[in-house]
Amino acid sequence: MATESLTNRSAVGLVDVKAQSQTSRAWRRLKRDKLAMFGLAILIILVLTAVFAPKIAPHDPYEQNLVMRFKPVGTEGYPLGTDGFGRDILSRLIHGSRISLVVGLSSVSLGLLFGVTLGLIAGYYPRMDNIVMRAVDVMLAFPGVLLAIAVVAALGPGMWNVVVAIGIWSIPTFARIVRGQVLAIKDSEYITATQALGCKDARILFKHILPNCLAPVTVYATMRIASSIMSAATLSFLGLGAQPPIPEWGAMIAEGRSYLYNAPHIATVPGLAIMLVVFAFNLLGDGLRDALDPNLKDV
Amino acid sequence: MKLKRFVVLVTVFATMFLGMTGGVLAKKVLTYGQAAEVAGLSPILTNDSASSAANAQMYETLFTRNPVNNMIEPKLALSYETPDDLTWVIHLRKGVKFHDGTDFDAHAVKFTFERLLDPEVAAPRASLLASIASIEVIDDFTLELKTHDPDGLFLANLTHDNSAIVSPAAVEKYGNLMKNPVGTGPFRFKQMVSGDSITMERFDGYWGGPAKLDEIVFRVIPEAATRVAMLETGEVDFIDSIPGEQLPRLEANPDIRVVKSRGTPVRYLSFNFEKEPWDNLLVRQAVAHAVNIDDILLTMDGLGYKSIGVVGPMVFGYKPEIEELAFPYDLEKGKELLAEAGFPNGFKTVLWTTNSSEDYVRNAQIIQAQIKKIGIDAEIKILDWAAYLDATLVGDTDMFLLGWSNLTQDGGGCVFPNLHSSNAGSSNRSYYKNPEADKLIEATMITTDQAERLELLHAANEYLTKDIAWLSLWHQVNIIAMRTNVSGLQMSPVADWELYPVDIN
Amino acid sequence: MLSYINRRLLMLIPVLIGISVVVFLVMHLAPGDPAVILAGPTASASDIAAIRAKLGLDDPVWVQYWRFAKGILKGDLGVSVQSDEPVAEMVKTRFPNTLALAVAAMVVASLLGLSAGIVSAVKKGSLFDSISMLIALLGISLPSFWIGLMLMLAFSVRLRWLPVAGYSGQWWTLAGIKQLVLPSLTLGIGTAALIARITRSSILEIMQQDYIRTARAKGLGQLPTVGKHVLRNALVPVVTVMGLNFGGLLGGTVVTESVFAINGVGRMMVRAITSRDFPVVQGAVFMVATTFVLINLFVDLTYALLDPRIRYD
Repeated sequence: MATESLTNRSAVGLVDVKAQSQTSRAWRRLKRDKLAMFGLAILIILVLTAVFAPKIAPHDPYEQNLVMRFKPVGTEGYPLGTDGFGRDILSRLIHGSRISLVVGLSSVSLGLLFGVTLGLIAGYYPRMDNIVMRAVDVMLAFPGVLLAIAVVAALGPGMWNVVVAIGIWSIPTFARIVRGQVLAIKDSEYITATQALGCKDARILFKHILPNCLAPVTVYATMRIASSIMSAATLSFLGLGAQPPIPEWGAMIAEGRSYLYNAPHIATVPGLAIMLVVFAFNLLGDGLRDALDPNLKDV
Repeated sequence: MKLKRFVVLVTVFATMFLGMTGGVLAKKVLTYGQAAEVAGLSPILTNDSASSAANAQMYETLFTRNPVNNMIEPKLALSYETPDDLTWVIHLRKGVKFHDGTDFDAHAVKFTFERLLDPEVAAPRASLLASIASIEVIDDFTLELKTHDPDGLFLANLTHDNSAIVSPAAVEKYGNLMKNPVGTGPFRFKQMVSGDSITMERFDGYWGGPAKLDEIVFRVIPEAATRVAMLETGEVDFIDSIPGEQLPRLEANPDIRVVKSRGTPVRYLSFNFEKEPWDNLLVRQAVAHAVNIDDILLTMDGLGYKSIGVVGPMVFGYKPEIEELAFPYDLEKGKELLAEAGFPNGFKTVLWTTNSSEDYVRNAQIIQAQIKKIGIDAEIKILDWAAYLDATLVGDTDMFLLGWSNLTQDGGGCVFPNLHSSNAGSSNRSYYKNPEADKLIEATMITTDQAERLELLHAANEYLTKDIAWLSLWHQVNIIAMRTNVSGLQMSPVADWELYPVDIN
Repeated sequence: MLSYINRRLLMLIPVLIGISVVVFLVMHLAPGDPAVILAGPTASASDIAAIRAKLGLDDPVWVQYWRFAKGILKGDLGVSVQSDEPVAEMVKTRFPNTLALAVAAMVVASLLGLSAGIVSAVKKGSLFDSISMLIALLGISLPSFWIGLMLMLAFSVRLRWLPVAGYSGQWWTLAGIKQLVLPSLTLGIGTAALIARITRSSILEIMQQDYIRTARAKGLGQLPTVGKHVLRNALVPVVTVMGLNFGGLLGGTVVTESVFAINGVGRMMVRAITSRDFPVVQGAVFMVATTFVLINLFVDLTYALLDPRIRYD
């Protein structure tokens, strides 16, 4: 008993040290990447905006003022103009940042939770591999948007259902990445040794194998947040997203789309906001990939 | 010499070529940009407005509404008499041909009506003719119809697109007419590319004389902005279902003519009478005083007009006196009424709506903001049309928005399905069950004298409006936009149009 | 190779069964009744009951599933509730349009993506490289419905160079090509950006390999090296992405089809979902999913042609 726990602890310690040094090396590389830092800066601003939204926003995002409909960008008191109900677009944008962040993060977390678990199981237990991967194939066989539309049709529209719909969509890819990674390291001497020492499967999976999957998963998750925000916007565009008057950015575009010709700013402003945030996530994801992927470190 | 022969040859070919293209150019084709896809081309088996629009060019009804004065006139019928309250004798027009060459006669009418009523066929609009007890052919051009009860709506129902007469021979041949429409109308079917377009051509054997257009094409263009852009570039000749925000752009274009007219469709705010507190008149009155209809109309950009009645201005049964019942915008009064009803601090509720069109969502947002001012905190719940029809049918709702197109243009066809207790759980989606109102509605149904019906319908309208069986928000302004070279296009109050009198230069 | 294909085709069976069950359940769990939609808001209770009986909607769900599954086994996808048209025929009319759009988008994406990617890799660190990679990243970050509306506004409404919308189904004619330009740009721009990025990084990775260094050391010029040795190897991941994305393009035509009024499978399915036209959704998703799986198989097989080291046994 004593020996076992001792070995375990040292093994864990080893991984931790390794991970730490890897992380700090990656961070040093990331810091040199100007574009990634630019992306990170945008995201920090975004998070701060979301946190302090009620303090920053000049107006109540829900307050209608029909005398002030369709005011263009640069109107006094309304720097980004007003929408079809005379609501302040800047305030809506600021409050909407919370929703976009929540949708992006929670749908990816959902995909991570299920995708990583499935990937670990498929990779580690050869018997489960076929079953899990066929299930993943079923999911992959559905065109993404249609799957999301069908899920929303079944659950009803609304933000959390959109999160589920988009989250499901990213499960298969996470599962595949993790499975591949598990297969690659499962037969390494280090894991075989741990197994020989009688370590439990769950322990091996979560303490020894999972940390080694983190790099590719982090990179993919960052990019996935970007595309989730965009998918949410697409669903809103199709009328299936957050419920008005909630100022979700995609819903704002959808509302503004019909005014595209006479008041283009209503759709353009949230469109640019989505683009900027998605861009920032992609920049960061790119930087992370370069920093974490040793194959490309000198390129 | 050779050169001369060459010149002659060229001239001959050139003349031939020009003659040919001239012939092609002279063909008059009108293209209509349609918002929704047609479900099918059988008036018996469909009940969507896209299908009706196409079918109205190929099929005809026994009676029709005059587009100018809204009076019911015979079309495939010539005249009718009512020997007693239960009997309708209808004389039919002679010399009318179906597109397949067969003759239109009393047997065809009997066939059509029996098919519409057949439970095996399961026609969506079978209820139009539900009052019929028997159909008898007196001779080739005379029919005798008997109804179970006196039916004041009978003629109005026979003007409905879905009671149009179909060719019995064609039904025999094809099984159903969803892809092989055969009627008596001025245009006959040429070709359909499912989901994309329908082409119809002039029917030269039309009893009223041939139409001016050679061909009409219905093209499906779901996106409103795309539809407007295609009208601007001339890729389509006319469009309807135009969102208000696109209007200024079209009106500013010298190549395009926009025609507006008051229509029958109504949009209303309804309540679930089976749920507290909506069964309380004081609460409904409070809402009526808090909703500022002028502000709602402002966001409609000219697509709606104001009238307080349940039965609107373009529908039979309307009298202008109804407008005296309007609830003036008064927040203090609203708050007082709510307090009197036992809600001095307001309450929380849900406002249900659908995303089947933009204005449903917009109306909901503005109403939400307005009633919040008297303390009613409503969460908006938006469903797609399918789920919405279901939710309103089973009565899951609280406050909800709906519309009614009034296709029969008769107030009875509005108040009976929507507000009579016998229809609660189907077309009466607010579960409004009021014995007093039932009596008033029934009275309008069993009288066939139209002058008397007008008074009875007005009485019902007055009662329902006072009781706020629903709160009418706006009535629809019908809009079509066409290229200026299109002439003769006229829209009826129910937003229908016929291409028979239309020409294009 | 043959046994590999056989095995892959066999594995298709459980996947297809899974797909049919999922589609069926999702549609039947969704609130909304096809009979109510067909009957419309004006319908009376008896109208709705008659339609329900005719469509067999009163049967237990498993009976309905068995009816659907039996139909598929016989090659019958069912009949649309709305239009009474066989689903197979509906797909047959629309699939060529969706395919033409997806192929055109892939052509656009490959042309733009490959050329930008190759030039960026060869001229790594140049101004062209930075700008084109930045544009590529922006391209991935743009919502496609937005691009579609903007392109239409610019090229059709303002400049009048191209038709606003519609597709005649004739991609081989000039008119057909003109109609496809904007939709395929809209749909393909994201994939173009992706291909550009993958191509660039893949080429750069290969250029690091020893055998390339050797070739360069032996005095082979930059361009011939890239052309002869690098490209072939670098294309493996590019083809993977193209293959995976082609499936995605087929499914992603939904928005493009509705913006540009193209009569495709995506638009048909959205309409079927919103009108709860169960047979159409089931039949069409089933067909698209099958195509998707077959494309993936095809992609896997093309690896062998590009990279002789890959074997399938």
